[in-house]
Amino acid sequence: MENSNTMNLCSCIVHTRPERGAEVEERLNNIPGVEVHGGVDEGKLIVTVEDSEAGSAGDVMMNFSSLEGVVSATLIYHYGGDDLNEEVVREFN
Amino acid sequence: MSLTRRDFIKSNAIAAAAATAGVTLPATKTALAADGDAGVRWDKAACRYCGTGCSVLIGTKDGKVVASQGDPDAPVNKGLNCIKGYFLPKILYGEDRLTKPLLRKKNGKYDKNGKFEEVSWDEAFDVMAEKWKAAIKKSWEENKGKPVDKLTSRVAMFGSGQWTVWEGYAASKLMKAGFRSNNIDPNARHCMASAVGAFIRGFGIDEPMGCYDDLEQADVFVLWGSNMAEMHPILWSRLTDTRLTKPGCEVHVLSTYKHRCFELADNGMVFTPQTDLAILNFIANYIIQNKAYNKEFIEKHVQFNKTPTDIGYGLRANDPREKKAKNRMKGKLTKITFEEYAKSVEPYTLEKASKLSGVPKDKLLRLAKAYADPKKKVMSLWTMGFNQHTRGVWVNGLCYNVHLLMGKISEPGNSPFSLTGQPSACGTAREVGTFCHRLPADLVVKKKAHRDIAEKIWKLPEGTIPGKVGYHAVKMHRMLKDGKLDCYWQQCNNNMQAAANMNNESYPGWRNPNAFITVTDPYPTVSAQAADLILPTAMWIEKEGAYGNAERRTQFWRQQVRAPGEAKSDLWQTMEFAKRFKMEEVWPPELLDKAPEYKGKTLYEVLYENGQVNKFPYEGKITDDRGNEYENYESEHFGFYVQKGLFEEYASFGRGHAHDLAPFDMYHKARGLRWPVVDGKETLYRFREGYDPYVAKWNPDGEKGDVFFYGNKKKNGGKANIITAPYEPPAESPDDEYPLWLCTGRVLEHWHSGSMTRRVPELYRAMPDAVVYMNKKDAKKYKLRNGRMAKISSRRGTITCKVETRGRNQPPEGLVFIPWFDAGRLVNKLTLDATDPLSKETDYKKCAVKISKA
Repeated sequence: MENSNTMNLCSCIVHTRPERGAEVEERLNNIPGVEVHGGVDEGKLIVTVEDSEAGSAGDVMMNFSSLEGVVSATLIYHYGGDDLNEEVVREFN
Repeated sequence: MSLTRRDFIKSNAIAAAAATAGVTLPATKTALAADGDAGVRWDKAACRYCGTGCSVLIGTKDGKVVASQGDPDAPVNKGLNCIKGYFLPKILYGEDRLTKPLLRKKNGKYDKNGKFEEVSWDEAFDVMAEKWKAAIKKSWEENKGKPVDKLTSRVAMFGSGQWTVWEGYAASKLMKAGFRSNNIDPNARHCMASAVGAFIRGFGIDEPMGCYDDLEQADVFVLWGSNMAEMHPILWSRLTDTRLTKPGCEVHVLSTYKHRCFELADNGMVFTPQTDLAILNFIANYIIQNKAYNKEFIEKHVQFNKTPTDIGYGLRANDPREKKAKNRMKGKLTKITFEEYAKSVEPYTLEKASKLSGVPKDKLLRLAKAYADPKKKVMSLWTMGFNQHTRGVWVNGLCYNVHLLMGKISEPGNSPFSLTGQPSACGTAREVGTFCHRLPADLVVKKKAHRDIAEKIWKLPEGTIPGKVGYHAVKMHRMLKDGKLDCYWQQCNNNMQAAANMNNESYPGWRNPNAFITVTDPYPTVSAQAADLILPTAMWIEKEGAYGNAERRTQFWRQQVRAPGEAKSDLWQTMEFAKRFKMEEVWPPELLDKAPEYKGKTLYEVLYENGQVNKFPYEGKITDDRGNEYENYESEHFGFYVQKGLFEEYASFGRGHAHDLAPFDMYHKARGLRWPVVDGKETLYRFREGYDPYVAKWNPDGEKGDVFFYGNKKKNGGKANIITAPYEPPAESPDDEYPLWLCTGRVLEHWHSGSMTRRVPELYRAMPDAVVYMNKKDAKKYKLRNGRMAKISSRRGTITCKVETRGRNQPPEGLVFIPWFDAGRLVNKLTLDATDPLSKETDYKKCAVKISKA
């Protein structure tokens, strides 16, 4: 799992007070490798994190809980393989 | 359209998070998720770390773990995992993973003072077996003419609450039946022994009556010496949800220093170490003085008792504190009346409790009122604060006293709940009974009737299992040092780092020239480096496994990947080592004469090819319901379905006796089941009719929905024991020379001794070294500054740590906290090996230290 070609992709839920969802979304989107996909109004932001020049996905995520407005951050899914850029031929039925 | 694997994986990752959060996203975000994640095989596994027992989904591809996800179908964690859990697969791939046996050698031969060299498994086991045979021979000579209940042994095994169920079972059988040595104890001795002692004394049967469902059912939560926010984060998140969504819900937190749980606390209390004894007696007294107790319940279901006092501190017999103790190590209960009990707690007034503990009166009163309110459902939760305590059995019991006085027990929401630290402290250490005094299913070696049962199931002649209690964890180190124990095999834990008083007991014991120490581990831990032989092991999902968590839930997983190099599982090692012994070498002739059919056989054949363990054939692969295929290395090697055979033989101990486990195959399909499992149905609340089928069976005339404490049915007709016990001071308190309390424990990022989590780069970076958490005023007083190094000394040793005055833990003046995960700063050089004289569990929470600039 851990070698130089390993690329990490994670998803997590970032909890905020609902009224602060938007500002935390902006804060998160400014971090390289981080993308918010929804849940802003509910205060449960659905976030993906990928390795970037800012650091490994893991390290970036470990810092979420210290961002202003964040109540808690929970990792949900983690993929660490060396094959993320491989093309996948999809069969359409 | 060209798509990469990233597109698919990302879609899956988003979908998983959205489903767990209950958030709906535009379909485009998750469109590709349904297509699966491109060649990844998913299967469930119980988490490798703590006693919570979360389930994780493990994604494997080309023989490697590539992905993990919180298991959305798991009732324990409902799709969530803590940060340790998410980096979980990385513990398999640390750079310094051991892949070959290593033996200390000089000039091509074993030498205690030699350097570690790679050897073959054959050479490793040859040398080890020779040492064990010599030790067994010596034991025979020492035991000549002795009856079975006086036998001693010079060989020992130190096991683990992280062993899988069958690893613990196979090891226990090897030691108790094979080598006829009760010197087997798990590291759970350091962790859960006091909890066990209190369950057996109070209820006659081990483990909690309630379950995690109480985290949603209770109105009031009380934490006694448990930092759940860091140590059991998933259970803490469930508790937090209840607190924030249920009107009137309140949280009380008691600790000897402020920690993260205090952020949620409605009533946070920092008390002077050891005074939890006084606080609990005050609550009992308050309940009685205000006539709030449940009269009907105590008349019907409770017996009152007292326990001998002034019992010493489990130190060596020549310690002045032991010589002074009037009733050293005594614990026999005496029946008393309710009035006598009431009188025994009467001195514990609000004033006295507040004065002793340092907790303001209004806070204590608020706590007492919560327990005394018949309308409020209370869940008490505790971990090492109660258990690692020289009065651990007492203090566990005092908490049950409070619940029993109110009848707040064995029903949803009313729940005294002992949390566990290790993933299978319950499932393996306690249920299998890998302690020096136990056998499976709460049987004990001291009772002949119990040994008879084990001997019958194991097909052994009468008198095989010794009746004398073996050496417990702390005693093993003392016996090694004293030259009374020659061979010691440690599996699946790191006792050189974990045991107290390392400089004076553990290390001199292990390095005693007479001793031969074997350590089985995946990594070169502090223990491995102090050993004579290191055996590399397969870990976690590199083997088929089963764990039992704190709520009696047994969970299985399949082998997902192969172990690296020549690493072999603990189970393989235990069984394979048994092949090295002829029965004539381990049993004396008079015993073997009683079973002539065993003459000439190996220990392996007698223990594991007994027609039961080898009953189930192995088809060459394991297939799940979805058609996925898995390897099983041990079964491949031994030629039968090893795990199934061991499990079914083990389960026969408890079935029909309120310890029922389900059939083996059922666990591979379920997300765990809480025992007793009767007719395929798990039990949520024990001892209450309607929930627990054993109540109707053993108390057929009882009322509907009533309780019956059947663990005590023979002793007192099925009543729970309230046991009065006073406040007594700790073994060592601060004085002029050593003015500070030292408390040790864990942190969120690292699990236990850090042997796994420190090898996960993200976790290591987040918390690289142990620090000393202390109060700002103390720092000033001792001329220390935040972030600078300090020297901490006790009567037993010295270590150096960075000072932290602004961290997550905020000790009061007079106390410092140091976590024990750091192999570079071994806090157990400072601790005292004082134990609870009843449970033999070490008190890691209280000793005296001084601190100065380094």
